[in-house]
Amino acid sequence: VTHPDPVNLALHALGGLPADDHVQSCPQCRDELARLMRVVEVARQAGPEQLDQPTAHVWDGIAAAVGDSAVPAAAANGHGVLPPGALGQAVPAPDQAGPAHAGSTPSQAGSVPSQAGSVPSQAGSVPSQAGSVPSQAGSAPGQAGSAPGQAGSAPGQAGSVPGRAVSVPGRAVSARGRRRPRRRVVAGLAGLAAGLIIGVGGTAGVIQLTGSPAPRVIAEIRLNPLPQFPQWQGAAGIAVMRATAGQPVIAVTLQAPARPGFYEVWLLARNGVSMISLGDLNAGHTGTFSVPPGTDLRNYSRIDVSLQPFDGSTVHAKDSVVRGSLPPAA
Amino acid sequence: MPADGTGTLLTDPEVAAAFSKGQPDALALVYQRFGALVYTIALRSLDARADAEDVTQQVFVSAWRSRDSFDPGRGTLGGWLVAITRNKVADVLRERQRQSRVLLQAAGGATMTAPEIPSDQVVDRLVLADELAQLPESQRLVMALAFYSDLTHGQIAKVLRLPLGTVKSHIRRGLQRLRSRLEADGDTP
Repeated sequence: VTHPDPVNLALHALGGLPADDHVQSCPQCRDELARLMRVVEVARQAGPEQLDQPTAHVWDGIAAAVGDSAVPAAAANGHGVLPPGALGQAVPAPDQAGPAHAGSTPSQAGSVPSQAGSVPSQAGSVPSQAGSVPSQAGSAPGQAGSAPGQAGSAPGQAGSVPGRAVSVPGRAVSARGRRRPRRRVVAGLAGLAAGLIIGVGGTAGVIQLTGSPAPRVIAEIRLNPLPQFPQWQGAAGIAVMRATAGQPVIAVTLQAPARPGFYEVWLLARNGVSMISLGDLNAGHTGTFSVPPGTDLRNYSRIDVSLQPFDGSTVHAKDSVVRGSLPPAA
Repeated sequence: MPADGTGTLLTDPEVAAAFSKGQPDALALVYQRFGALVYTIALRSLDARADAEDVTQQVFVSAWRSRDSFDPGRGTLGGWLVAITRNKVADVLRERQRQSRVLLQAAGGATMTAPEIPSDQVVDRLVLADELAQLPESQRLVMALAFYSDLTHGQIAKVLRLPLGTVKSHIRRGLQRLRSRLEADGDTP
């Protein structure tokens, strides 16, 4: 008996290929297929799942309970913030990640455990301490994560914060924009861990946003580099726009190198000046965004992804990585 | 293979081996690798952050104290920790039930529903999410797109600028790996 290529079984389990006659009649292949399909079913049950990171004092409590026997020197001698610190060192960062490592030294981590443990719910204290970390931490490529203390807010987050409309020459400032520097710094510490997980959810966060497994795709838009930005000629992206019960949702996936700064997604108006910020891509260079209510997509008909420096400015940095146009009907 | 999601640079069997030998930093490694999974199962099952944190602490403290009873030959460390987590969660739910029974009796009596245990589906989904997070980045993106987007494998290859053969082998190996983990550590057989 020649069994089909295992690749075909996998693709069939995902729904991308019809099963052939052999699979139907071969008990071995049928069993294999059923097991693979169960994985797909579990994965798709509720859309992308994301694990929440416990806050640092959870580990502190464990370390205190078991004593020195089980706790490495770094965690036992007062730098009890194992998860963020350890991850920062353990995870090899993408290009140019030196600053991320610098940001995850124990110096700031060491300030946590003194309060941790005694306060039942001090999630807020983690970000605020992290905020005092030297700013270069914020330039880690994995800036998109949520802080450990904010675990659980991640994948839908971008989508739930519809951008404020700003126009390029202006100095538009939004509440969201003002928060940015701290959030970057916080995320710089945790982002390497959390952001990468979000990478899974980001592409597909649309499913969680809408609560239905397969919202209708309105448009699939290729995003291409622009001739006037030769430095981005290797980049590419895709934006998938879907209809939901509420506002249309746009899921963006970017293929581009990790660079200092972060990638931000915009809707550009026909006049080339007005634009709406949809939000930032996560460390996996994906993001899912709700189109702000009232947006006229016939006017704001182009999707642009920019590289933004960590300067706290909310305006487009005029460094466009890729761009694409919505089809007229969308 | 580096785990670029949660955790450590060690493979799960290496973490398990360090743990069962009782190496000095083993519990920290285990917590790094499985802390988020244990905590999230507890959080989703109990819907209360403080309870989930308590359970997480109990799970790791009790895992460390009873590490001699963990046999790497009989199952995975992840599966063992998930089982402990389920027990601790069930304890909390029983205690909640007891308290509400007391309250209900004081209020004049009423019928009680059976305590819930962490749903198998929740555990399975989170185990799967945990394993997805362990995949190398490009494989993880391929799997995410394969599961959650409408893109075909051909389109995935184009979007990620990967050769079609690479995408196919990522899908095949990724699915196999997720399946092994789910069958080892998940709850539904």
